[in-house]
Amino acid sequence: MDHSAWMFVATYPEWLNWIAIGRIRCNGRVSRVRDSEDTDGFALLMDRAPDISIDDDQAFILAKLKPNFRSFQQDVASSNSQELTWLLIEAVDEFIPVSDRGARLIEADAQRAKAKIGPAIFQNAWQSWTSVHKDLRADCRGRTLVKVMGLSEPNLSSIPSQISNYLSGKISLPNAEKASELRATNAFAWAASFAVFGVLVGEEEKRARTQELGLGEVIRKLRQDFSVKEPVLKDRLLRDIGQKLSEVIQSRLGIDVSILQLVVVFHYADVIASGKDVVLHSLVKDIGEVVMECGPIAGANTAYMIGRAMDDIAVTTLAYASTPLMFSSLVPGKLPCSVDVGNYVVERQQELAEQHANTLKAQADAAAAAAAAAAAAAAAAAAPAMDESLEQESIKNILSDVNSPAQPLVENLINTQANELISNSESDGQQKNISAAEPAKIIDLKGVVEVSASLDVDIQPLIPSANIGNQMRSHDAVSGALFSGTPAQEGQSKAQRSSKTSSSKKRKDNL
Amino acid sequence: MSWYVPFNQLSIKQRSVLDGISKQLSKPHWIQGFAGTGKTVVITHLIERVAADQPKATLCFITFTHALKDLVSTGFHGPVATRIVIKTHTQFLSDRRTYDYVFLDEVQDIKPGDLTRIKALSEHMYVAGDSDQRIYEEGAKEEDIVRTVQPVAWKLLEIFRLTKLLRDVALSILPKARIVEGSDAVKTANVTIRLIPFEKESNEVEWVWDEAFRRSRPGDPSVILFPTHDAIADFSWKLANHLKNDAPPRVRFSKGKRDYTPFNEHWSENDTPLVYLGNSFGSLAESETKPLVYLMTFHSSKGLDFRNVFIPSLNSDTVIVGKRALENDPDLDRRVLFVAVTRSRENLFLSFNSKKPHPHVANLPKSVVTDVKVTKKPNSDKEDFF
Repeated sequence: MDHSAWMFVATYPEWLNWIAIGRIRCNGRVSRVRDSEDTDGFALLMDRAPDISIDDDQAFILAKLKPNFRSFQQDVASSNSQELTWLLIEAVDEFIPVSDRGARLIEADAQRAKAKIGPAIFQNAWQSWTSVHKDLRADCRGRTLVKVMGLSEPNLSSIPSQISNYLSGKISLPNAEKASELRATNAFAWAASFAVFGVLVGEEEKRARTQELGLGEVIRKLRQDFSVKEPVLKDRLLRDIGQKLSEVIQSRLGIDVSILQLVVVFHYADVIASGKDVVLHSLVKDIGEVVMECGPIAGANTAYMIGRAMDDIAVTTLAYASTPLMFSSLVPGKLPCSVDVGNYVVERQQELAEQHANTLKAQADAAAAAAAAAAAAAAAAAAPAMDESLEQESIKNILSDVNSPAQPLVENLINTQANELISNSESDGQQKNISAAEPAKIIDLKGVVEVSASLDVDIQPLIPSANIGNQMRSHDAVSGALFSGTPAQEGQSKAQRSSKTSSSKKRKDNL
Repeated sequence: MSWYVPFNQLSIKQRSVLDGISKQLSKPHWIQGFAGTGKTVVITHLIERVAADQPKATLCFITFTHALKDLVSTGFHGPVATRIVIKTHTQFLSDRRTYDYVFLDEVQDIKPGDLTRIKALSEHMYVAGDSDQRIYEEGAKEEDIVRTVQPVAWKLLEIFRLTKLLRDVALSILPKARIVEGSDAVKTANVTIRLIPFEKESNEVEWVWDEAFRRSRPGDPSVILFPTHDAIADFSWKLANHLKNDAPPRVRFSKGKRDYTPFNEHWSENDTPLVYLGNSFGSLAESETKPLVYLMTFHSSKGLDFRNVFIPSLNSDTVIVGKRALENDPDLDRRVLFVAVTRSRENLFLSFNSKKPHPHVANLPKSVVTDVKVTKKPNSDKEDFF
């Protein structure tokens, strides 16, 4: 097309009707395109087209109109519309398919309809337009999932482009052939993340860490693990490995890249690509763990990347079901579980706080028992001639005296630290060091016994509180077959989750 | 295995074919298309639509194989499903029951005489199939179908199941596949098709088994395809030797057909995830919960698809179709191999253990097929994953 022309875009069924009837409603849909390289003009034309699938080269047919096309327009006076305009088939110079493939797909119908089809001169513009719209749609999916999960806005500028290209699949993974063999196993996400680690730190460092941390052995074991419906971050040992590799990246390159986040994104992208169901319960747990380990923005970024990889219908179904009141035109569905990551994080933090409090209590009880034993020994030494019953009474009294000053201190310590943890989880996210609490002091008859919270206590790591909504939402809608509720071995994963967590350095909100 | 495509995910072309047929239900129709264009999917939607519009009508879906019958039955849901009778063509003919609406898949494999009898038992008849995929010498040729059914023909042109590379390989094997003209592969996944030579048959058996099992997943089984039952037996014996199992029992005839029950029980008792699938033996449902490898003949695999397909023993002297059949139909072996390679959704592994491969795969386009030489397996400790 050498010169600018007026163009009209019809959907495939519209086109067939147009030829059959001889006219089409065209209100506001005629647009001028300079030439076949005019991607902006083409985009303007297409943006006015009915909003149907853009994945199908047969979805639309372009009509190049004659310069005097207006003389083949009919304004129809209608009782209920003053603006009805018909475009007659005589106005068309030629029909143009959007691509060569589109031309082949419409060929048979065009022959039946005796329609002349020109060459697909807008193929490049079509590809550019669909590419932009596919990306827009993916972006919407990502943001919708973030919103549905109650997370804060993602900050995509913090993702190094090298990483995001791997995550989005724009660049093939190193050793892609090997990676493909691990698809739909729990090995894939870890292997892919280790591979990206290798790209970032270099071959020598990768080899050293592979040997040091036994990464090959990790993958060998995981490749027989097909339970991809469970949370991918369920294993504490693997998470520790991920943390260590993240620290290596930080120390060598000075950038914050969390291997755990890469693992979660790669895992769900693989689950989706393998045609498996995304288990909501597992997704919420994994994103929740990322939020707890790396912060709310990191969680949002992770959810965003996964949302991009998901199917449109899956994401919109989640959105409809999670806030049914917003969608009054739709029959409410029900989700199999809460998708609010905030709820999960709060519950998890409370669980950790309870664990911590129990540990401290056990420690204090042990110290109190030791003090009581010491007091009893002292009493026995002070009254060797006392008869047995009196002795017991005396010891009891002494114990009571001994316990009385210490016990409130211990309880106070436990309550303070538990409250601190809980309040951490509900406050603005500033980290507070649990182990920095003053050691409790118990008065011994012989002196002072220190009970340190940092001795041999299984202390949970600091938890940056998630600045995400924890409001309970009414989930009374159903997403049907798109999602599963909980993985089969829920109990197991919970047990693993509650095992010791590392106190290693937290990743900032980098990904 | 999920094969059903919901209505909102049908392509414009598929919908327009569906609409076109729905408007002229009184006429017989023939849905044509290359492997993977969704013929079965469209005819499935058609039967659901007719069932909804004709609440009192009797409906029968006829498949060619038992495996396909099992698969199709998983696609129907809701009240309509209870009204749709699914039979193999042999069951349909032996029952001799008439139906208001009959939907026949893989029409090209039905003998012309049987096609006439099926038509006689049908008030309305709609067929799906592709003459290029006729794998039985006695199957109905295009002219037989046209003469017997007198259908309105509809052609599906978008190939959804196969990648472009697989389409090109299929075309190289069967250049005469006319239906392919103008057909486009919609899938763009980057996959490699491998042609792998082996020095010894035992090495080939070992590698094929290891690779097939390693790539199988719950819900995504691997399949190893063979031209004949004898080839399956041969492979199985060598595999048992490799796995240090007892040899599997010889498959014997019972009630006029091969009885694979003892064969499948043997592998199950040896904890080897291997199942013969076809002729009502084995079940696709078994693979939903565990990684599994199926052994099938080219013929039984018709209509099914798998992510990973292995076709071993494509030796220069391998007989795909008997000499007599080839004399009557010189392209029959090409069509049978064409059907086998088009079972793959993603990865296709062709292998041979002779000096040269089978002539039909010897000249596959270099641009799409990777010649792979399998070297000795690396020490597992040194295997490089990333």
